[in-house]
Amino acid sequence: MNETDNQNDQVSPDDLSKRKKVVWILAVVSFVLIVADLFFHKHIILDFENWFGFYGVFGALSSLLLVLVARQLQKFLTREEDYYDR
Amino acid sequence: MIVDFPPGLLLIIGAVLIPFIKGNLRQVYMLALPVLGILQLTLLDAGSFGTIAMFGFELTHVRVDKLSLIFGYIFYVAAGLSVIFAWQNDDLVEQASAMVYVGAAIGATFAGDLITLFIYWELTAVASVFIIWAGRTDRAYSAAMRYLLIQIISGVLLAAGAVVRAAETGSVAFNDLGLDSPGGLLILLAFGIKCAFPLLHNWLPDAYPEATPTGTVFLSAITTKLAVYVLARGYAGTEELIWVGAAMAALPIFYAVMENDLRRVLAYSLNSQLGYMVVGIGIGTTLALNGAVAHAVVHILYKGLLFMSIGAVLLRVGSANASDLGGLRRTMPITMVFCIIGAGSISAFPVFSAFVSKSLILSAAAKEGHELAFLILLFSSACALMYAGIKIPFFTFFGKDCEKRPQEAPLNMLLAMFGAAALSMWIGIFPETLYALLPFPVTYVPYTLTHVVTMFQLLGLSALVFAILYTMGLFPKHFRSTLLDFDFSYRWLAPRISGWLMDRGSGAWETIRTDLLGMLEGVIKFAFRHHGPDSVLANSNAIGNAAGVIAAVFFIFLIAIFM
Repeated sequence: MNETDNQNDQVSPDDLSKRKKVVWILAVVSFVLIVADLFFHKHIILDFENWFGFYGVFGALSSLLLVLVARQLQKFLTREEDYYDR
Repeated sequence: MIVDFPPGLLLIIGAVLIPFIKGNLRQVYMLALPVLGILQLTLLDAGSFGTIAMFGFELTHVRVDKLSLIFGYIFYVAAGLSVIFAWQNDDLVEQASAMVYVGAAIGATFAGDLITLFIYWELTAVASVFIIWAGRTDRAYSAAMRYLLIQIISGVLLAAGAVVRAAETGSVAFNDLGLDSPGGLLILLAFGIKCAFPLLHNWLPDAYPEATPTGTVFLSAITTKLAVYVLARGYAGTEELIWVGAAMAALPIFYAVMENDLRRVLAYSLNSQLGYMVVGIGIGTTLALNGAVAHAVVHILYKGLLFMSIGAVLLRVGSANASDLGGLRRTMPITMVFCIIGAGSISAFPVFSAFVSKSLILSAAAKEGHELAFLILLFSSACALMYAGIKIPFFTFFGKDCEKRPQEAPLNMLLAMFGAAALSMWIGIFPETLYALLPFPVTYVPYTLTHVVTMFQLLGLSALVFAILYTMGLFPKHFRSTLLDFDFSYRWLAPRISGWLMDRGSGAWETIRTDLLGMLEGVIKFAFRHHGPDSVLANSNAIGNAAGVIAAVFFIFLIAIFM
């Protein structure tokens, strides 16, 4: 496999602090969005939509699941680029 | 009279003249065709024309209603934008076949019977193969061959289904088909191949990314959305489709998040978005069908926009691999803005287009009590932000600097991207304009406080998870590779099984051949023993004696007769 990965490798401390800043901003925004649930009446169809923070928690779990499963899948589905051409 | 002219034929016949027009005039001509086409559609009244009797069946060449009209419009719009995007491309093969391809798809959209549909259906397959071949690489050649084979199988199934249906019902009219009969099942399979149902889907991520940067833009708009149209026409309310669609919405996204080639990422995400439309068709209420059609329309716009922006990057950098890209915002800022608009649309952020179409399907699923399908679609929506909405622009224009400084995309490409982005944003902000064209009256209001806040919650937390995982280095890494998908079965397994059988077979054949030769040898030895030079029968005396005996017998008979 051609390991020409140019993401995630050797992150400079400067970059890392920038990324951490982005994480914090998004965390604050997410917190505000979830708390917003307390301040308006949801017009919903299905019961579980009314659980506190349902959409936010579901979004977070979904994307976490996607990435964690994909990381495992990648281990045994990845082949060389010319796999079918040999 | 132009009004009574079958809509698709305008482009197909128009394509004949393309080789004879030189220079920029050719592109002007190619742009004029879809513009004329749109003009014609605005003049069409609902109803049918071009009805002919053939083989004892009534064929309806053109059937105009709100469902066929909206697909006709969006196919013409996609063709027009794609022509502008491909303005500097002088590849005659791609230009002519693209026009025939779009024309055939529009012809199929207005087909009122299964025979006419079949003819246009096969024409889209054949014309689109040339667009892939126009990539002119070995990979494009072999991917196109696989694509052609699969598309032709779809056509054969459609023809077979039409014949079975004609035998069952005595009619080839293309209306609601349903699954009650074997004919209906065959036709569903034909449509399912073109719609990239799970396990029938591999032609899509296999072939589309092998076309040229401009060719893929044509391809992405047409084939699969034609399939969505025919499914909506023939199988609305077929409950099995809810589960097929849910599987489609959820499965390809795992590939999209792993894949390195960004055009392949877009192909997988296209597949996932088709899942939404198929769920909507499966639910089959007017709200759900409106949602499926609306999503098909906006999907053509924003997916085309994303393919255009990555196509422009491919043109300038020479690669669409995430591992070769990063930090291009420095020199391609305008392309970046358009790419982000496409990304916002596919993620269904409020004010972007998919928000006003996805919510129709989600609401329909919830209203009809399909909780599981609703949750799967919601899962796919949350993930769309990560595998496409963030991944595509982030690893191209931001992320780690690839230290390439390509020029900004050419003006014509920027113009085409502007057109797609503007239309997409317009629909996102003024959904009534799209809703008015949908097949059923719309009372739905997408911009309510609940919809907007819940969508922001879903996407906001998803973005937070991405940021955390990326900072921790946990996001799947991109490198040049092949991901095994279902095509493993026919690109790796099947050739090896047939090879194994050949080997085994040749072993068996060797045994059979030895046995046969042994038997033949026995026969020869037997014959040699009795007929060989030293054998009894080789004795010339014996022949002479035999002749003498026969002559004697004849003589005795002769005497006996005359006595």
